[in-house]
Amino acid sequence: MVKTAAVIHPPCEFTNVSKWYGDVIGINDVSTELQPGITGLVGPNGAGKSTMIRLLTGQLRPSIGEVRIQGLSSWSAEAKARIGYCPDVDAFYEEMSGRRFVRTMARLHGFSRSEARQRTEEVLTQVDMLDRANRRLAGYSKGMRQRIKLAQALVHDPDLVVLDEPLNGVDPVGRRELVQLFHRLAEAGKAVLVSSHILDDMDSLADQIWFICRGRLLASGTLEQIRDMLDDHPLHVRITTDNLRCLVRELVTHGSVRGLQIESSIDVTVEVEHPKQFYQQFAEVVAEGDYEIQRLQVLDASTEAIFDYLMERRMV
Amino acid sequence: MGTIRAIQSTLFLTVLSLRRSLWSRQTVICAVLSTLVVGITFAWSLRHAITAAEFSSQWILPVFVAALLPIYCLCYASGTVASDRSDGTLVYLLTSSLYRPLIHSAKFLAALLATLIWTLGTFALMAYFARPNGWHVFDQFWLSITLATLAYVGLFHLFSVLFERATIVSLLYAIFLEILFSNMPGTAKRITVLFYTRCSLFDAGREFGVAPENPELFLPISGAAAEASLWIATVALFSLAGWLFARKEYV
Repeated sequence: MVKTAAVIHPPCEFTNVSKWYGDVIGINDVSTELQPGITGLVGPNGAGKSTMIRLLTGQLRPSIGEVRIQGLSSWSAEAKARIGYCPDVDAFYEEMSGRRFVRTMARLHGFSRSEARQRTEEVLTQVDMLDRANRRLAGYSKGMRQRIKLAQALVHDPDLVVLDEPLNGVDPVGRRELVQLFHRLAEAGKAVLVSSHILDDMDSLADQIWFICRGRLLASGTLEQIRDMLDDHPLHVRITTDNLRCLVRELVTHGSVRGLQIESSIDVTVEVEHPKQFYQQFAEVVAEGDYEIQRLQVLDASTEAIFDYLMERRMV
Repeated sequence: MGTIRAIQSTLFLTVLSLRRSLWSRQTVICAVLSTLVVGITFAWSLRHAITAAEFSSQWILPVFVAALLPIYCLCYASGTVASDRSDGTLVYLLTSSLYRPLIHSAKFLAALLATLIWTLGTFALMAYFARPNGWHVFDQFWLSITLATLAYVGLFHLFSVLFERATIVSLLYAIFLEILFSNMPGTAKRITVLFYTRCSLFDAGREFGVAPENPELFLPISGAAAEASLWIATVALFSLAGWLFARKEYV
């Protein structure tokens, strides 16, 4: 008996993908894979985020390379059945109610009338629009429109959810609810790609980050992986201890410390050159000197800091 | 998506597109135009009994076929894809599980049905009021009118697939190419839909004495050839539009 191993494809795969619009390059030789969980797609305006999303959702075809959704060409209808897309454009069939719009999208995905009705109610519950969905879309607030767009993206229960600026115009409470929803989707095993220009969103949201700039994927991975990759990137660490003077005296002798700034009688901000080396040495110093460290805070370990750094390095 | 579900979704999109296109500004324009021509026909019939020859050569050919029919077709067919594109809603169709050729077919079918409602409906109302010979003219001309509608819808739908401002392109085509070329002597007029429609109507209305004013300049072809040309043009334009729609990137 011959056993054959089932081929497991990643939710989405870019293989040497380039896309040109005439002479203008959209993205250039991008190869990456999307994994289940939440991935943040970040980059400045004109970086190629929209091109990547359009390639992924089968609105564009690559000039070179291929984009595959679970092994299927992203251009194919079969691949699109596996993708839920929440576009950034604020466009609807305005004459419809939110409920009817979502139901319409369900019908276009091949659901029968009764299935569409049932799925619509389920996703409206998910996005917390069940009791407000009978109003006409033209009268909705921006946040409500975002929720309806999200509902239509989820209505056919896709494995891959692509959200283009989904938190735009949503109030803080709504943002928190939607972020929780994205986490629930990820916990349910879906791959969620979120594009956002608000980098703060990504810190609490994304398991993985794709950094894109000028059509190139500069870095991808978890925040930690990217941090490791950038171990030559100077880091600012704030340390709070009662015995500040002695600690500072020890730290200035460290090769990995580039500078120190005393903030108060108990706080010092240390500019670290090689974070890995610093942490090892710092642990030894603390253990040997028996320092009581009240707080150790990395000031710029946010996505934004890494992003800024990547952008700066790119520009050099 | 299975075959049956794909067909169901296509029919759903057809009905949705038909309903949306009928519930639009274009319908107001068509309603005003139809009311006008039907009213004039009624007023005319009050003055004297309209003969089939009068109704055909003074009303149907120069006004309804040459002017109104392209406008009805333009109103609905030039917006099939272009209006979704300019409204930003095309993205929902292009990222749905429906095959692009099916989306294209649904859009075409909806535009065709909406247009046929107006062309055949208005023609029928005009025929009803053009007593006592109106129905006889309708009986002879309905096929030519239907074929002309098909060809125009195919053409303007192709523009809609190709251009975001398809209505303007269609208007320019209808005003300049159709009217200008169809009145030119020689064979240049054979690139227009209007030429084949007229040939088909001349053939169908022979018994009422409907004929080109100057056959030596007009150079008509037979009715059968004209009808076959309109069929072929429709199929070719529909296929070309479908082929383009299946490949085109709408950015």
